[in-house]
Amino acid sequence: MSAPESQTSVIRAHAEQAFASELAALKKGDTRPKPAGWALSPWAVRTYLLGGEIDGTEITAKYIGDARIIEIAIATLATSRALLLQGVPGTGKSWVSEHLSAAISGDSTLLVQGTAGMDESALRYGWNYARLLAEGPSRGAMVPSPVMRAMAGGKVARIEELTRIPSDVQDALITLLSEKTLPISELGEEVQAVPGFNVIATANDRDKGVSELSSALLRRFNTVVLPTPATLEEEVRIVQQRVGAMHRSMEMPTEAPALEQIQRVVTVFRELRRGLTEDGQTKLKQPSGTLSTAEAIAVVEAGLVMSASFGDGKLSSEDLASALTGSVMRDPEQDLVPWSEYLKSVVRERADWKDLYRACKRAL
Amino acid sequence: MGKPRHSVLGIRHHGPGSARSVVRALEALQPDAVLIEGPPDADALLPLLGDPELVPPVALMVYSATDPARSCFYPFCDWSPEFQAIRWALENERPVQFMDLPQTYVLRAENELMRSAPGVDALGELARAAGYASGDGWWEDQVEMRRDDRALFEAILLAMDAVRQEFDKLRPQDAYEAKREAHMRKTMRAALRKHEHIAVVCGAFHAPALDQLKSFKVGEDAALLKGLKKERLACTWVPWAASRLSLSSGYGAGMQAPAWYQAIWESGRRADSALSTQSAGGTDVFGSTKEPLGEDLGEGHSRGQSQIVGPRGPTEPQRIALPENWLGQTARLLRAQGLELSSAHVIEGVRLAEALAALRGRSRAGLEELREATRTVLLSGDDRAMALVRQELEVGDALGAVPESVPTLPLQKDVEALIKKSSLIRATAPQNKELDLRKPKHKATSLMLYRLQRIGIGWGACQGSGGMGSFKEIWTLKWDPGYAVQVVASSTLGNTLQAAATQALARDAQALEHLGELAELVDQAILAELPTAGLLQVLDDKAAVASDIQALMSALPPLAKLLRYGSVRQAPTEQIRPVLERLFERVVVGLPGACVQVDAALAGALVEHLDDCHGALALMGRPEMQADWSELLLGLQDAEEVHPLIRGRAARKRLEAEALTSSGLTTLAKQALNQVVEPLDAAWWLEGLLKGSGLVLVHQKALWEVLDQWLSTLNEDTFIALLPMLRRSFSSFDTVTRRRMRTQLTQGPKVQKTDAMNTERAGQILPVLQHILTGAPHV
Repeated sequence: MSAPESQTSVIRAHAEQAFASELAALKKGDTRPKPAGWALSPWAVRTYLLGGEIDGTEITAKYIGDARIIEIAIATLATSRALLLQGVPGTGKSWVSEHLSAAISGDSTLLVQGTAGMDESALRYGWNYARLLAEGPSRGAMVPSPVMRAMAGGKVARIEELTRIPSDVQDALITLLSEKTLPISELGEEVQAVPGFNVIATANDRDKGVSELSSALLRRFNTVVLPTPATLEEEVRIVQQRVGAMHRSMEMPTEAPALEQIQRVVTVFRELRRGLTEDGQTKLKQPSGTLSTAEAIAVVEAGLVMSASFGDGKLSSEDLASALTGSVMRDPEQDLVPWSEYLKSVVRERADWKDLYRACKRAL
Repeated sequence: MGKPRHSVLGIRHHGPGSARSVVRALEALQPDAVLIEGPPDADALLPLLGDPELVPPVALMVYSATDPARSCFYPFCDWSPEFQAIRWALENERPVQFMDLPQTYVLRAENELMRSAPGVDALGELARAAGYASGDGWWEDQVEMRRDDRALFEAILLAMDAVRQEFDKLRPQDAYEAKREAHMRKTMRAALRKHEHIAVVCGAFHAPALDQLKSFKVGEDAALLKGLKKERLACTWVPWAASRLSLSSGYGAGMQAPAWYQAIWESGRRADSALSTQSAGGTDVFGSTKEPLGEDLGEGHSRGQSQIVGPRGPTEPQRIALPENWLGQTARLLRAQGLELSSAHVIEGVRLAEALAALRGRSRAGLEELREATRTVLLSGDDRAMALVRQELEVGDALGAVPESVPTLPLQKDVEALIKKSSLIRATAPQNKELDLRKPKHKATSLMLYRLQRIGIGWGACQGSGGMGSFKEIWTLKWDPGYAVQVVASSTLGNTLQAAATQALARDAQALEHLGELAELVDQAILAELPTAGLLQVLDDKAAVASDIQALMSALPPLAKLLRYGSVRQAPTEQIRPVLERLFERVVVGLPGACVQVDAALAGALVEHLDDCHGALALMGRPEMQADWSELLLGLQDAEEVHPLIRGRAARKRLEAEALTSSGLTTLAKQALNQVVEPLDAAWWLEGLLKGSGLVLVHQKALWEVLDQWLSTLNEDTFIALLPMLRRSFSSFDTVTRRRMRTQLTQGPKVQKTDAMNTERAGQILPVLQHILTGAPHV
């Protein structure tokens, strides 16, 4: 999560644009064999994702956390298996997917955004009806999907939010992944995948009301679950970094968020998420919400806005309390017991947390 | 300098690769005698390892003859290098003996020779230098998974020598370790006086200190061992279980995955037998070329790359299908659990594991990679079944056996001694026995029976203690021959009945899910005079995550009773208090929510728990808890959404506690018993209020009237429908109460007095009636 290198006029550059020089350096220094159709060797992809140094060029870490997860993801793709990244929101699924495809194919733009209203043409191909009427079915009248383009070009296609795609549309992927061909029945032709083609899909495993993957489709993916940050320090670092960046962009006149408050918020989230206090002494009931790092970031941000607009500009417990309560109590009925038990038995007992306890008690 | 007279084989204590290399080295070296790192106290037991009736895993148990609780276990499994070396020596009829510092010194407390925590992680340092995260991973790759073991032991010696030199510079050597090595050298010197060439099997860390025998002075070693006192010891072989191997004890290896090592060992053996049919004559393990340890790593890289890029070529002549086998077994296990897994899953799993190994620069997929492949491919990222895979597949259920000729176990001895002391007779026909706990002998017997129950020996069943504060216990005794087996089976739990029962208690506590049962277990523990701290911790932990309010509530009364009255055992019960207080807080937080939207059956159950907790609370006599409870009851009593039965009960409890006034009750009754309220709900409320005792009706005149009014507003159908319920409420009253109510009824309430006709006023209406009926003029 480092700053993009080139200041272009777009709001957000693609990974392969933002980290072009890193990719070039890796490519130059890459002596290991590459799987067919790959821009880099698996070892170089690993370095790109996890950070390191090559021939004097520093490679920034794109993923902070367990290196094994990235290794499994790369090994999956190297064995030509499709990769499914699962995890709660805010664990960096899309981020990893984007950087993996940027490193492997040099192109992270072959993207399908899964929605409930999607039809098969988003995964296969559609038609330019004007030309279809004028010319009849032809290659020229066809509008290929990103997946089809990835197959033809030997690149990695990305499918975001796979579980939001209706089941019958998901099924289109099954043949595509096992046969590696896409028949175009209207033309009596087919597109055969070129080496290098693969699919990285992401899915939120705690989402409700989604289309579960059929076992036939699931079988074609290797599933990697991206965990929530492993240590308190790691998570505090992520929250601090992200909040700091947004804080600057909003040009708020407040002080930098106190590390101590961030630590508290992250601790609350971690403890409730794990159902265990950090010291491992007390077990806790877990609320129904996901309590991801992204939500912790949102709580701190909301607190900052509160303190800037209504407070003294200094992030206090009162500023955090209402956002914290709202974030933990996703379901006011179900989550009331875990939250009040937590407040009573943990927050109240911590000597320097009294202000947070009082603030949260008021917010309830 | 001719051929060296001793060969030191540095190993990891539980390593299948080490075991295989040791056997091959011994074949090549053909030493005249073999020395093993192990307690010389047990030398006499070594030949038993050659007994075909002995099936590993087994453990060598060395224990103090006076206090069996002080003991030490040395687990051996099929793939223990020591075990293989001993078997090799026995088969080839070479003398074999242990050489470590005898346990007779170590177990003697005054010698202060306790196994200190390994302060130096020598392997770890070496591994970190090689870019590994842990010493185990490095050793696994470099030694245990190695296929080519030429010059392996020489390389281990060199590596360990380098490590030791660094460490000895950094910190003085552990006194205990120094003594051990001194004794090992002493044993080596003695053996060399008798034999021409000896082989020494020891932990890799000790290898350099033993190999450089000449650079240590005999006198200095003797000085180190001077003045040590001896403990009287006994040794035996005990059957061990795979699950016990995963614990740390004895050698302190703490194997996480014994079955995995078994698989490596077996596949290694298969490869060896395949090899021996191909080319007769083993390789010289002590080859003259000094190849660095990293040699195989480089080779692995090139092989790994070819794997990642293309399909695996036929580069390995006797490839061991370990990953295929392992994942195949995993798939079978998971299929038995109802998971749909095809061979395609296994194929993809193996491919992923091998690609991962290549990416990590390993020559073969290890357990780590196979675990990740299992999770990623077979389980689709779902972690939940991994615990099952670990338990069933990685740990396994291997159970050892020992021949009948081995000496008896400490637990057996302890139980025998206790039974003898109690002078109870082991009869299979039931008989009764009355114990008076004031007599020490009877009390000991009672304790023994309670403790035996804990380790699954239900010899005695306590028929009751004849009331609180009584010193009498009546037991029914019935012996079962199977109990003898049970004692042996429980021997892994501890060496004395007390230790075993304590251990069993901890195990049961973990297994029990229901909080009420756990609370009962606390009671049982106190009866058996076993420590309850751990048990209470488990109870506390489980209470924290329990979502079932009934379970929480059911744990409260037994604990409160224990805290208030203690037991005849006079065991300290004060430690129950904090647990109980937290439990209570959880009940207070959880109960209001649990009383909403419940059906009558559930409400009935909750009411019973409510009664019990109310009673328990009275026992506690804590004003601040009473206050919280009272507030809770008020909330329940007034909350519209709470089931009427519970509301009624809460009101009753508050009335009893004098928190609800007579007028307050009347108001409540008016709200609960009127036409607006569903008749059924009203009846439930009434039942909650009246159940158990109807005296409140007799004493609270106002309530009586409200009830009377409500009953008279019911139409006939409703009344008949409600009658069974009302009858049920009233039938729980005792006869005295019912008689008093009858009296009250026959005396009649005030309204009945209006029955007496006021003839004067009635007469006034007559003229009007007359006018209407007859048309006669109104006067």
